[in-house]
Amino acid sequence: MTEQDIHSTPLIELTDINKYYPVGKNQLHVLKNLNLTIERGEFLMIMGKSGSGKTTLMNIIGFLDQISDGTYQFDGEDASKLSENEKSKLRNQYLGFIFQQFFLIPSLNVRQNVELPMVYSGNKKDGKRKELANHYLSLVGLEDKTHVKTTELSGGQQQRVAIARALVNDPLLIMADEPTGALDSETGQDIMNILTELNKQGKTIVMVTHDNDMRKYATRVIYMKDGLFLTEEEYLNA
Amino acid sequence: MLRNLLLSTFLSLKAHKLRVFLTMVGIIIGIAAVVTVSSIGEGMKQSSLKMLDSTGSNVVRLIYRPDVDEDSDSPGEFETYAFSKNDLKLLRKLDNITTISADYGYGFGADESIQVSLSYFDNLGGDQVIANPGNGKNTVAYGRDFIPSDAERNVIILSYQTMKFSLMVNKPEKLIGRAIDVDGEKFLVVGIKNEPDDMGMNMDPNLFSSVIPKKAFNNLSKSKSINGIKLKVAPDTDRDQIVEEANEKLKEYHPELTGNFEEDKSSEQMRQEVENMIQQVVMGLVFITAISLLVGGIGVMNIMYVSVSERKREIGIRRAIGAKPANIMAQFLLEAAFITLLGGVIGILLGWGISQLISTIPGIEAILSVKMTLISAGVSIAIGLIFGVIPAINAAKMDPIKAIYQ
Repeated sequence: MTEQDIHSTPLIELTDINKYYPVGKNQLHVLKNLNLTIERGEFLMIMGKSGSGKTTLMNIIGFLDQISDGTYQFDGEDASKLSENEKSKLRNQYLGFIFQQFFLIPSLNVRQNVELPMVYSGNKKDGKRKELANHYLSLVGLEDKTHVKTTELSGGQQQRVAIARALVNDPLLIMADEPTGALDSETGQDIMNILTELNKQGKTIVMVTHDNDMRKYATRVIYMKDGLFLTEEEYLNA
Repeated sequence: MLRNLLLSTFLSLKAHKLRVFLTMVGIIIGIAAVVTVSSIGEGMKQSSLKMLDSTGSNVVRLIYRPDVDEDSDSPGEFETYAFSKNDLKLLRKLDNITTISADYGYGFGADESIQVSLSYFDNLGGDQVIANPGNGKNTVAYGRDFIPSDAERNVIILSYQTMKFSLMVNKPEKLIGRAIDVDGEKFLVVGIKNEPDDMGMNMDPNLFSSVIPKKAFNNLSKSKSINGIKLKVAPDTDRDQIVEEANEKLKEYHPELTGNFEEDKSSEQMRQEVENMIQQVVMGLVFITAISLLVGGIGVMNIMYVSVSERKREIGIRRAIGAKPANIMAQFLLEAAFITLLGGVIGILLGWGISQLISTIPGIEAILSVKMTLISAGVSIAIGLIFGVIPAINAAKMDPIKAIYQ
């Protein structure tokens, strides 16, 4: 074991993982014997077209899905077999999700949406929750929209609320699934600037996209097709 | 956490006001029906008991109970005792007693009454006779009421039933002005009371008693044995203590008696039986009415299923940001319980209004008990929880990925 290993276990270490989905009587082999290590502070971009397995991989990293075989080490701990409650707790405390369609809850206002992860972790008082929600909303430039209905916001504003919501429990990792996919290019760029800034401040980010232009924001890019990792050359020529 | 849960329940229900209201209608109707039936039933019970209770709850009927030796070889030989007028005088010395009267009968009815035998030509019958009441007023349908000069005479106002079934006379006018035989003495019939109506509601408690003047009553009662003594006690008096004091007084006066003077509880037992019977009938009706609540409950279940499938994505999002399955379940259960509780409260108010409306009909009284109100509210919440639990479990078990990406 080298000196470097002792000082920093990788944040995520996937070893020989496979994922099968049952389709009728057959099994669909979605992820094929993959190995992936993600270090702290990376901005990792997973590139792939639809059906490549990139979203499945992200869901597995994000404790939304489970691997069929192989091992998953999160922050040095085995996370291959977890109960629903354990997965919920990990998602709540260590992960922040950003989705293409923003996925805010329409019956709640902006601040209530941002407070929600803290409500589920249940360890903060009402006043503290409001304060933190306001803090993260001002970080994404929405301090004057706290009591607005989410349906009254533009797409870019909604995505910023989602970013504030992802940050509010101070996660180790932010998972972003095509965060600019539903936005025009200018607004998309704003969102990418926020993410890049967060990464510079030390947040680890994993982003899934099919848009080759996004690669410029990443510190590392991996390419996927049919459940396998490819080299850049193989991917672009395919 | 709970506060947020309540807030979020309120907000998501607010987003579907019309649907929530329509779901509530079933519960509102069910609870309103239950509340109406049970409060009318309670009113019926109370008024029946009042009628039965003409002795009043503050009357103690004192009787003599002989000392029965359980091991005795001859259980048939009881010591019997008839009260005397002296016993009544003796008890006047006790505190907290407002009136004392001799009871010649069997313990029912507020007024002192005696059983007599009547005859008119060949027709014989028994009758309950009371003394002319204190205010001297009797409701007479045929003939006339007593006049002051009757006080010294043997005159009688007959009940309609006595005329018809004891003396076998069909037309009141045939009997008025004639003499009948009461315990061997001649009495002049001056009046006949009203015929009881079919309903038997709101009746005069003395409708079935014939009436004679006080003096004649006292003469007749001299030959009657007194079965008990009715003590009307002051309000908030310890009945047991009064009975004990009366027992001591009477035993002191009659040292030869081995038994005790006790309160006669047989009328209390009958009261209990009637109360139980009415209670059972009312509970039966309430049960049948409650079936409509089942229908309402199924409506709630249906709408919860719709709500869960409509909000799959919300469930998925909540799971993704860290909600445990139990959090999701609690959310939907709370929504169901909130709908039914609100429906229940509205139903209680509506039921109360309907029963008040019905109680404007003469002879019907509606009483809404606190107990029934609380039970109704509890039942409403329970319906929400029972019928909401399966949809809530479905929501909690949902796979977050499938829920989000649908």
